[in-house]
Amino acid sequence: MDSRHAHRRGFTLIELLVVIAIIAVLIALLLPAVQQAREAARRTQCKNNLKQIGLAMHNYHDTFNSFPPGYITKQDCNVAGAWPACNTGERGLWSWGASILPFVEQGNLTNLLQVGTITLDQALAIPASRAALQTPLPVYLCPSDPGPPLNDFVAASDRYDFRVTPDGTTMVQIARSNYVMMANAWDSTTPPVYFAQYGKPHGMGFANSSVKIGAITDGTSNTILVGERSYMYKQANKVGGANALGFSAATNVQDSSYGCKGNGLAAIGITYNGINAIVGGEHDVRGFSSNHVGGAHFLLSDGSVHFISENIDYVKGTVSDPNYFANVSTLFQKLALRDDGKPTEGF
Amino acid sequence: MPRFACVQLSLATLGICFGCSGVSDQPELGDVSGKVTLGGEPVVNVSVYFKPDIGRMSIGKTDENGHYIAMYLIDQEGVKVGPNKVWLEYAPDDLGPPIPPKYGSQSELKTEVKPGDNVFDIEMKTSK
Repeated sequence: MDSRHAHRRGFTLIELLVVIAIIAVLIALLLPAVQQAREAARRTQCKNNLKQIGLAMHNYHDTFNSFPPGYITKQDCNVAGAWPACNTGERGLWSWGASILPFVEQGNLTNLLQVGTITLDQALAIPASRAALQTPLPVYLCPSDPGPPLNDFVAASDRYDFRVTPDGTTMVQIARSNYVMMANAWDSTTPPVYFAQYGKPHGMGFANSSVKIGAITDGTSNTILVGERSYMYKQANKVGGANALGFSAATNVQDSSYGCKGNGLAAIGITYNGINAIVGGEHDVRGFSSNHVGGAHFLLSDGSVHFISENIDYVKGTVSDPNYFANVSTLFQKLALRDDGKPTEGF
Repeated sequence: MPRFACVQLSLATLGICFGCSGVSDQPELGDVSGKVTLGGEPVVNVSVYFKPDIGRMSIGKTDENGHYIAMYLIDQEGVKVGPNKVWLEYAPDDLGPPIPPKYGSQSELKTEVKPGDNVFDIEMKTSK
């Protein structure tokens, strides 16, 4: 009972304080670190999806001898002055995401939806197919993006509407995606959807495209095939991401490049304002963006996936410049083009 | 001795803490703002483009007083330090008085952006 004489050495105050301080530092370190680890995992999956898409694209090429079309339209806008005429009536168009379904192990879905036999709006009118069109496909979704499973994006004006109509009046949301094919390296939506005005685009996927590997004269490892676009980035700029399987051209009646098949931007993208556009306007939907810190993932035509920094050299070139193709000078644009004939330094 | 070990351990943890934070490849930026006028009148809703020799563009859009702040990212102000080409252009949905070509599509405006605050006013004359 006589504890005063027991020789038990206790901790000094300093020792206790040091231990508490170390524990505090460790906890402070661990909490953010766990969040970082989660984002790192999401980012890796996001990148892996692109790798799978790359393999599917190449298997598609092995089967059909070309990369899939950016989207399939019955009325190819190639006739000069036919702008309004070539946009009427196409309620549902399949995009490249539908074309490569058999190669991402979704062959059964292809059969159910009858891709290529009927159009997207016809599929949407069949209840079973509609349910399938509204089922998210994980391979097309980047987990870093907080967007909804179905794409509800409608721009403030009527210029972009990513919903699809089966009958011309009802608007239906279909499965969202985070990946779009690279179509062109300038500001305008027009070349990818309407070749008569400024000439054909020089990217990999656009209206009724069928680019063969042989046509990638810059080399497959210097040409972007698919890039990332988020539904919303930097917590504020909502640009709608993409649609997994197709879009509608009948929901927009404007007689201009971003009207009508401007909705094709639900499947394809242009370099426009670089990566993670600054403008904060509705046309940012044309470009590429992500929620990863500092840039976005891109699949090159050789099947490799690269993270490209938002600090990459780029300029908002315009197709209004008569020499727009010859004047290409920035790295991001050169990567987007398959046949510009200019060397690309490291990125 | 144990106390010394504790200090070493905490120093090591702090080292890891700072060592692991990501390194950005963002170049050095300088803040740029200014006023755009045409014949003395402020120009509203015109976009001012800055393009460094090699690198990401910056864009600033004028407010109702013709004042702009150049943005590097949607949430970050600035322009890459060094020589920049400058030109004016309306975004697809913005309208306003026509920009004289020598400030627009055929602009030869240049500025040397320095670290810190820069002011770059664009005073256009109506004649040309």
